[in-house]
Amino acid sequence: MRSVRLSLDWWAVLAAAAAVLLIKSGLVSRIAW
Amino acid sequence: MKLVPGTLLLAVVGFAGKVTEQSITAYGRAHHLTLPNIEYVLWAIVFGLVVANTVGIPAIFRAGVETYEFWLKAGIVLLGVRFLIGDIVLLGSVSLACVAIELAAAIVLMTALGRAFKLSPKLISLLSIGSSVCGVSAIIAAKGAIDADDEDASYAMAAILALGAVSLFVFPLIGRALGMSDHAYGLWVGLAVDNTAEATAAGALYSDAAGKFAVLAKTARNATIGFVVLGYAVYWVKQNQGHAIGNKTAFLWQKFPKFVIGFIVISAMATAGFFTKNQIADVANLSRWAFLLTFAGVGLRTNVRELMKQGWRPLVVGVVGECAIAGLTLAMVLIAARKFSL
Repeated sequence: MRSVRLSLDWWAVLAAAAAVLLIKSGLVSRIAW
Repeated sequence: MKLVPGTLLLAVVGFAGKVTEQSITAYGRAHHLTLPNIEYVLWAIVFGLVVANTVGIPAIFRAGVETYEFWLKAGIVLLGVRFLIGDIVLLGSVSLACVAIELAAAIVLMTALGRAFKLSPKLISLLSIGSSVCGVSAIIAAKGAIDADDEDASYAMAAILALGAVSLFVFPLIGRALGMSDHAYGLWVGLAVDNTAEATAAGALYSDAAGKFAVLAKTARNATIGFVVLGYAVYWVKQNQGHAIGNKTAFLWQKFPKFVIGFIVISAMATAGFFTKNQIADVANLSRWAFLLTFAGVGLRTNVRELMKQGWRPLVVGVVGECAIAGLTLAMVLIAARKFSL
């Protein structure tokens, strides 16, 4: 099987998308600054 | 697992910067003192600089400290939530128009200066790419494409990083002296500061809103990286000193910064009303935390001794060229600010 190596850019996009999904689903909320 | 210690170090240094700002503000308020408001951004960078240039970064932390670039890109994607697509189209187009002028001027200027100081032709190409597009990533992308020496790439990166460090302190002072708006200042920083991390920090040092616009302008500039590197690659192939490029579209896609796509998608979702007000605040705050780690990384990876070792000639070319580019972009932004009421 061919392995796919993701670039740093795509990892950043995936991490941000995961964070957005967690916030949108309500699993994570009230992130303070 | 090897990323954990360094990432924790980024978090500790960044958080120390945030706590320092809050403590000074609280102390001033409690004692009725008017203390200068030094942003957490500067504290995080200074703490990082002190650690890196005194005790140094032990090997166990190095891999994790390098993740600052990941936090920067993730932070930019999340920042998309604070933009409406209309703003991106307007400001992005203004930025791109300014980038086109800046790009031509930077290449002409750096080439003339490099020749005057007898730098090697490939070092001149790298300095031109680094100063016209986007700093270190553009130099790394171009290094392979034009088959440049490691030494030339180190010189060019050192010059860009040294100037980026100076810009963190000088740009906010100039912006305040000229009474620039957050919009105009952010656009200027995004056009004139070469490295994305330093541009983000220099913008955030002025104000939160200026940081936001600096990221947008810098992102528009980053999007042109493939075209400039391709242009130089074709030039060096014609000189019989580079690798031939097969599929040009594939090359452009390979060099395109993909996080720009994430930034636009999140902005489109926010524009379409996908998020509630509280969710927008949560995503925006998460972006701030990601940037906090980036700012700590800017300080931690700046080794003053290494920068000094690179020699004075590329630095002189860099300083003279960058000052001229900063002046030119400032004039462009002041004109654009008047025309588009930025």
